[in-house]
Parts: sequence; structure tokens; C-alpha cells
Amino acid sequence: MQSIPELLERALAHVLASDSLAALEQARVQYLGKSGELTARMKMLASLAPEIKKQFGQAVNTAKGRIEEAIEQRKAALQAGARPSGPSLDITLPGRRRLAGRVHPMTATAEAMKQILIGLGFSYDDYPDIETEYYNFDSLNTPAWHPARDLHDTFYTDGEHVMRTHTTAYQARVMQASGGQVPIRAITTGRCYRKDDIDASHFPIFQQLDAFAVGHNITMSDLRWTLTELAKGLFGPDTKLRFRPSYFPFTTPSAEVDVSCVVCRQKGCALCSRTGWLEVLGSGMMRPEVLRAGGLDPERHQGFAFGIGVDRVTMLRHQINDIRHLYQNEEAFLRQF
Amino acid sequence: MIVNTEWLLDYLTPRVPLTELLAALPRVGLDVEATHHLSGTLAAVRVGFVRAKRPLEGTEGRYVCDMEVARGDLRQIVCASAHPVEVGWGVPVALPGTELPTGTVIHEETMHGVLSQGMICLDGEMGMVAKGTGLQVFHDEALLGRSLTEAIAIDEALVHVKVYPNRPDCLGLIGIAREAAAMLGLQLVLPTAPLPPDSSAAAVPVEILAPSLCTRYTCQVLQGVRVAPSPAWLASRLMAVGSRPINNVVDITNFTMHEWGQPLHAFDLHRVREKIVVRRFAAGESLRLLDGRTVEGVGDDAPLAIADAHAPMALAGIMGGETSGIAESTTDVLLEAAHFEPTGIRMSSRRLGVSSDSCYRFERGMDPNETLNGARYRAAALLFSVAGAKSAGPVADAYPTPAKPKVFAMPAERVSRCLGITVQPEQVASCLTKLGYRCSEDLQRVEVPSRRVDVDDAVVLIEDVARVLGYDAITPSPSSETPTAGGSTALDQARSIGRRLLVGGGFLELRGVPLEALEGEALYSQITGASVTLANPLNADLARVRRSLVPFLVKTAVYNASRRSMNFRYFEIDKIFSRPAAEPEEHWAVGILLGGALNDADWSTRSETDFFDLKGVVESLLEALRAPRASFIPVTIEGYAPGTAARITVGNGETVGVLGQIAPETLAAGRIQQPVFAGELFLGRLTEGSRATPAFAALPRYPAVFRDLSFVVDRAVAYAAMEDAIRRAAGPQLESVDCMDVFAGKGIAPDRRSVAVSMVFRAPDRTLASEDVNTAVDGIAAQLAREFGAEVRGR
Ligand SMILES: [Zn+2]
Repeated sequence: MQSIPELLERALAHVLASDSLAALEQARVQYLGKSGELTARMKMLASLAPEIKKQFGQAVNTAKGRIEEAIEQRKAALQAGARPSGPSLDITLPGRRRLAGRVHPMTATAEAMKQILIGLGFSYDDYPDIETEYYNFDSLNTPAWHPARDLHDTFYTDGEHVMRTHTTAYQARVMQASGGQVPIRAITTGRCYRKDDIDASHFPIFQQLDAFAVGHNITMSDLRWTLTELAKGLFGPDTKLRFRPSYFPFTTPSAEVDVSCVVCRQKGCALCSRTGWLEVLGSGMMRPEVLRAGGLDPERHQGFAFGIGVDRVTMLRHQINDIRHLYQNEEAFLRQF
Repeated sequence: MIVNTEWLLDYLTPRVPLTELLAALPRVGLDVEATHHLSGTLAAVRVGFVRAKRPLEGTEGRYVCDMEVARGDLRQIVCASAHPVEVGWGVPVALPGTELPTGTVIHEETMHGVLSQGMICLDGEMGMVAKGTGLQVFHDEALLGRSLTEAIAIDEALVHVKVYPNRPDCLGLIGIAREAAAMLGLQLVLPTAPLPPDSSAAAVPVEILAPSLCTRYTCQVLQGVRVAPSPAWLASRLMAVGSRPINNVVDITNFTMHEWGQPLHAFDLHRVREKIVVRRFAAGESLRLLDGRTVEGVGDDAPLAIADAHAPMALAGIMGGETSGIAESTTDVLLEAAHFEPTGIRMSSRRLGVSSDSCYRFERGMDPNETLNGARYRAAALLFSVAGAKSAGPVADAYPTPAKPKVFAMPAERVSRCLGITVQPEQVASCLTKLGYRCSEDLQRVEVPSRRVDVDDAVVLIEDVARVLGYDAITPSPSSETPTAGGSTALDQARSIGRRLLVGGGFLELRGVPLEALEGEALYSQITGASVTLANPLNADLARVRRSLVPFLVKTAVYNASRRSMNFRYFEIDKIFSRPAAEPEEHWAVGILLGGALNDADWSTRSETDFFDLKGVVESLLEALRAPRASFIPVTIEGYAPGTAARITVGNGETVGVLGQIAPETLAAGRIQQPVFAGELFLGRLTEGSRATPAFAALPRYPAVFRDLSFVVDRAVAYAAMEDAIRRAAGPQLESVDCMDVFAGKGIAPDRRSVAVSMVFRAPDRTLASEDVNTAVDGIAAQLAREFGAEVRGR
């Protein structure tokens, strides 16, 4: 048996195609007559369950109504003359809707950075949250006795692993996988874990985005260029960058990078503590030890690396004053972005 | 570390304005955490006049003063310091509530039974270097009640700096001054320490029995000191940087450590029997330290001791013993200046849980040469000039293997190649020389000063050149390296597809916390293997790495319900973890939670979500990821209401997820009355389709035939089984089959239900005849009648 919509479609076409009142009457009989096709459907109703009967019955009635209407219109047209008509509709009633979905601002920020860097030739991949001490520390020129290990309060798992304290742990993995082929331009982002007490600017879990580029001619000047492009893409074309000497065990020279304040444009405000600058990331030229751990030759290869706190950049982008908002997921918060 | 700028300027010439000095510190590479300009922070301190004073009962030489702190405002203040005050003097007064730059907050308090309503502030207590007696005194009554910053010009700051672990040479002011001099083009001024003459023959011989732990040990006997309070210039400097003055001898060693970075130790000579032996603690030996703790010698790698002929007197480089130190009665001092290996100090400190300023420096690495010498000369000279020493003996110096200078080649091309800018050989030589390197003409031999323990590779020299040039000299330029095409992974694309679909469906993305409490290990979780737990969790709520994304989704629903958001549409894309074997496993997952009204705005009808709304979302997600057809198999999973949970499988039965209704009792505890549904898809197993580039299939050229059928079957017959049977029976011309209605009740036997399906038939090569379809439908009806005892209606 043909379905109702199909039948309706056929009937409406038939009505429109009728070019005389007689043909129109013939069409009416075929569908709505005593043994018409639609009438047959109506007879079927009796055997259906009340729930579907209602639904099915509605469909049949609607179809009947539309066929009748079409016949009337066609009749009027055939009798030479048509007039527009329509039911009255209160178009000011609100639409039946769901509130729009939202991407978490941290995801949006990480994705924005990722897309800019992919555009600059970097390849994205994911790496483990549960890392070996080797990749998290030793491969990054931070052996066990190194005072720099104090900089990270590390979570140890019940096995032989640590919760990675930075996404930088992926560097040796990427280089090893490349089998010595350069240039490599790699990025990753993900969760990092440090045993920090929770306050307005610290949370024991945070997200980092890490990037590095290594080849024969990758310089600190490239680093500055790449970071300038990234900062402009993220914070706007007028964004300025400042490099300050710093220390990371896995880079030398190392640079802390500030961007011009996104709120006050360097006139001085509370966000930048009236300095005009915001600290956003750490960077530098990869240490020979790190290149060696990745199977590369520091005599022939050099590269830059940088790591960004996604939480912090998200907070700066949206002027969020407390990191806990990012993990509380209050709807009133999430719907702002 | 706190730096007082006025003290720092002692070592620089010519004098530079404060702003210039402050600007140089970040260029050095010091992490400036806070800068307190005293001109600002001391504005709260005012000039008060002493109107009366009387002795403080129960003390010697202490007074209670009646201070007029504003016209007619008299306060009683106990003068707690030894500095004299006289009636009629105007002095700096901090009233309760004032926070001094050193961090001290003034409170009303009772001292020796007397209420003190404020504090008379010495220069050092205010973070200032004393220029006179250590107390500002005013005689101009017009200053009464005025802010101290109006009474005197203050151009001084306290800077809180973090010295990174690579630069222990900057753990003394001279180290910082040397760097600042290079950055600002100033001269470094070292303290002129006139060598005390070897005016006596008194000496204590030194033996180093553990040369791998102690590189060098020097000591000198200084006799005739008088232990007393330190003079104002010295005491104020220590106070300003947060170190409490004790007595002149101890203060001198502290002062010298702040100045040079080199820790020193002073023994009471009469406690030292015969000689100094640098050795490990022997088994059974113990020593009570200054802080009251006891160190014991256990095992082969016992900590290093400074012992005399009989017993340990100090825990080397970390802390002195309780009895061998300087006492009021001390007259003769044995002054130690030594160098200990960082690793040994670090291990002892770690193992014993003892730390100190001295330990902090030694474990980062001190300079056994110039700095050690400079500090020892300086301290000896101060023992003469400040503590009244009368004679000094010869220096005993055990230095078995003097450190050899490290040498690197640093041609200008190497610097240019790394930085990506052109640096001339003269610039390299000039920058390095300013920092104390000795460079050969051709830069093939650059000798590293021994204080720079961080220079373990030539790249550090590049950084040093860059720092002196200024990082601003490194201008941005695009790479000359071969370009690469950026890209991402199939998994990453799958995440994006999932996120887009869900956000488009009105879902909010959450950012969960991947650590959770230990209880509820099996809740909602479908992954196998033990949990990964933390050996040292921050607290009990963050002790396990999560096994499912659902608990956090539920927690968030409860949280938002308490804020009256009851229509839950949440998802999160993140990892879940377990340890099925030795190695932990990480799986990417999409967690989804749904509950409340289907629409947020609906003035006509309100429809509540049910199981099939969530299942529909999951099916759409699978479709968007081009997953193979999924089956939903009833299972029991803790946390889901019984009879509502399903395991989702695809292809050869591989599980790709779970879904179900959250157990109502869980929600009732969180005050949610309505049904809530949640599920989790393992994204990692669904990435294949998102990577595939689909091939075009010819569009249908012949019309389809539509048929609706209604079956009455036993309730126990699953729809999926019926659909399977239909597909099997229908043959290749069945294009699709959909369930259009399910009904049980009036007109149907109580144990049966009616299931209506709509089917589409089509052939790729011809228009199907009615008879073809009738045959197929007959076959279907027969099949269902046979398999399930189905009656067919509506044909
Ligand atoms: Zn600002």
C-alpha cells in the first residue's frame, strides 16, 4: 500500500493536471469517492492502535483537506478567477527552540592556536598524559638530581609513571619517531598535572600547548616570527611581543614572552598590573641534550620550542578572573562564549 | 630572594636612577615577582612625637612611650627595639592595620602586660637601609602626623626576585650587581676588604676525607671578638631583606652570604678540638642541630659532617650543631668558608628533610674560587671592623683538586646561526668580557669564570651574548628552513566532527577534572583493567585518574541543577584511563549527558527527553563518524538504572561505547527528580570513518516503492531482531526500513504489541513492478510469522 505522503503528492498532481471540470470531478472520485484511494486508507484506521490511529488519522485528514482545497482552487481557477487566502498566524510568538550549544572557551582557545600553527606548517598529534620519568624529565635535560625538578611538583602514579607536568614531554617522542628526518614542526596540546594547591590562579590540572621546530636553519629569529604571527592571530594584528631572558632546563637561550596587554593596549590596567604587558609563554632554543635524546645531532640540527598555558591564555582572552570558572562548568559561564 | 636596591647600589658606580636599575633586573634573567617602591608603601607610616616615656616594667632598658601621632591623638606604644628614643623626638610610627613593605602587619598587642597601640619603626623594619643611627628622628613639630614620605625623600625599593636554579651566582648581591653592570654599562664595585694581617699563629689544621663531597675547605682563626648587637648599617640591611639580626658575628656571616652568595660558618674556637675533619657521619654518631633536630650516621652514604678530632660539629653546608656555634661568651672564632658538591648536599637535605639558606645555595652550586675567597676576606675584615677582632691567624686551605676553568669556542658565526641575526666578533667578545669571560682574539678560546656553574655547554654563551645585546636585538624573520605542510590526525578530525555535531545539537561542552576520588571505581565504567591511582595525591578527591567521563557530567548536572538550570545537554571529549596490564592505557572518549525538556523555549507543548533522545544523539554521532552499523546490547553497569543500559558494538562486535539512564537514586541525592540519560563513546575506535574519503555511488535512477506494514508480536520480541528478520527476508531490493510506531494496549492482547514499519524498495536497473514488491512483502510477513509468530495488519 502506498504511503500517505506519496498518495497525496500523486493526487495533488492529478488535480492540477485536470483541465476541465469533468476531469476534476473524476479526480475527486478517484481519491475521495466512496471507494476512493484515500477513503480506503480511512477504512484501515479501525484496525490501528489508538495512538497511531490518531496520528495516521490526522495524516489522512490533512491529506483529505489538502486535496479538497486543491480541488476547490482548481475549480475556481478553471471557472476563471483565483483569490489569495491563508490562515492568520501570530508570528510574534517565540520559536520552539533549543539554546545554542557552546564550545568550552579553553577548547576554542586551543583550537584557535592550533589552527594558526597548522597554517604555519606544524603537524598536530596527541601524546600520553601518563608519562615515563624519562620523557617527562630526563629527555628534557632534567635528570633526577637536577634542582629544576623542584620547579614542578609532580604526581606519581602507583606504577613507574608520572602524570606529565608539561606537554613538552612529547619532544623526544616526536624526534625519535621521525627517524632523524628534518625539518620537523610539531605541536600538541593536552592536560598537564602539578601538585599545586587550588586558588584563583592555580589548579592542579591545566592545559598546555607545546610547539617545536627543528631543522638545519631554525633560529631564534624564526621563533620570534612564529610567536609574533601566533600572537597577532590570537590577540589581534596590533599585538606586540617582548622577550625576556628566562630559564628552562630544555632550552638555551630561553625567553619568557610577554604580549602587549589585550585590554588597555599598554595604557596600564588591572589585568596587566599597570605594566602594559602580559606574560603568556616560555620559549627558547632546544638544548643539545634534548636534540640528542631525540636522536638528532646538535652539531647539525637546531630548533626552537615553546609552551603556552591554555588556561592562562583563555583567561586573558576573555578577562576571566578566576581559573576555577574554567573547571566549574556553570551554565551561566559556559553560555557566555 | 629580596633585594634592597639601595644595598645593591653599594656595588655599582656611577649611581643610576632607581627606574633604570629596576629595568635591568629582568634583562639579567631574574624573575621579578614583585617590586615594592618604599616611596609608595611607606606613605602609611607617619611622624609621631614622643610626649612621655617611662620604663617598661619587667624589662631592662625598654620603654613605654606616649606618642602623639596626630594633633591631639595620643597612643601608648611600647618601644620594642634597643634603639634609644627621647621625649620630644619625632619618629616614624606605624599604627595598627599598617602593612610594612617587609610584610609585617602592625596589630595592637600587649607586651609585658602593657597595651601597645602601634610600632616605632627602625629603618630596617621599614625595608630601608640605615644611613644614620637606624632610626629616623625629626625635630620639626610641623611634621606631626604627616606621612613619612612627606618628611623624607625615599628612592628605594624592595624587589622580590626568583633566581632560577641555573644561576646560583645571582644568589648574592654582587652576582646581581655584576650582571646589572654589564646590562647598564656600569662599573662593579667590590667591597674593599683590607686583608687582616696574620697577626697570630693560631690555626686549626684541616683534613678532607670525603673529597668527592667537599671540593675545598678553608678556615681561619680570629681572636678577641666581642659578641654584641650589630651596628645600624648592618642590622638594617639584614632586616630589610627579611633576615633577623642576631649578634654581630652571626650577622657578619649572614651579611656576607647576602653580599657574595657564599655561605659561611663561624664556630666558637674553644669548641673545636685539635682539627677540622670533613668526613661522613660514622655509624652510631649523632648531632643535635641548631633547629633542635638530630642527625644520625647510618649506612655508607651517611651525610657529610664537619667534625673536630672527636665528633661532628655541623651538618656540612646545611646547618651548624647546637653547641659549637657562637655564644654571648665567644671571644675566638673559627671562620669556615668551604665548597661542597651540590648533589651530596641536595641528597642529604632531601633525605633528612633539613634545609637552610646555606643548603639552598650549595645545592645549586657555589664558586670554589673567587667568590669563596672574596667572602672569606670580607667576613674576616668585618670581624675586625665590626666585632672587634684583634688578631687573625693564617688561613688553613684544603683544596685537593682545584677546579679547572671550562673553555669553549664561540665564533661569531655560531652566535649568528643560532640567533638568526648577524652578530660581529667584536660584539661577541665585548658581551662575554662584560660578564667576566676571558676571550681569545679569534674567540676559539673563551674561558668561563668559575662562579658560572651553569655554563655546561657553549649554548649558554650564546644566551649570555643575547642577554647583553638585549633580546630586542633578535628581530623576527620568517624561516629559511624548508617549509612543511601542517596537518592533523584522524582522531583530531573525529573530535572536531563530534564537537561540531553536538554543539549544533544544542549541547554545551564541559571541561572536566580528570582526577577523582577513589570510591565508585566501577561507576558507569566499561573499560577493563585496574585503575591508575596517584601515589601522592593532593587530596582524597583527586586520587584516581578517571575511568569514565560520565561521573563528571553527572556532577555538573547536579551543580547546575542547584542553580536552577534543569535542561541538561552536556558533553565532554577527553581521555579515560586504566591499566589492563603493566602499561597504562589512555582512550579518547566522548561523554554525553541529556535530561530535562527537549526544548528550552516551548510555549505549546513541553516534551521531556527520554532514552531514545540520547540514543538518537549517539546514532547521529556514529553516522557523522561514518561508523559501521551499530548494535545496542542490554547490559548491567553500575550507576545506570537496571534495564536501561546498553553496550554499543559495531562491526565484528567491538564495543565502542555505553549508554543508559542514570540511576534515579544518584540524582535524587543531588535533588534532580527528572530522568537523566548519559553515555560514552570510545572515540579512538571510531576514527577510521572520519579519515576515509568517501567514493561516489551512482544516484538512484528508478523510482522507489514505499510500503508500510504493521505487525502484532509478543512484547518480548526485540525490534532489532524483527528488523534483522525483515532485512534477511526482503532481499536486495529493500533500500531502507524504519520503525514508525510501536503500540500496546487497547485492541491488542496484553502480552503483545503492534510494531509498524515503513519500507522503501528500489532496484538499481529498472522500475520495480508492484508484483516484485508484493512478493518481497509476502516473504517478510511469512518470515516474521515463522520466527516471531507475528500477525500482519494493514496489507
Ligand atoms: Zn593592561
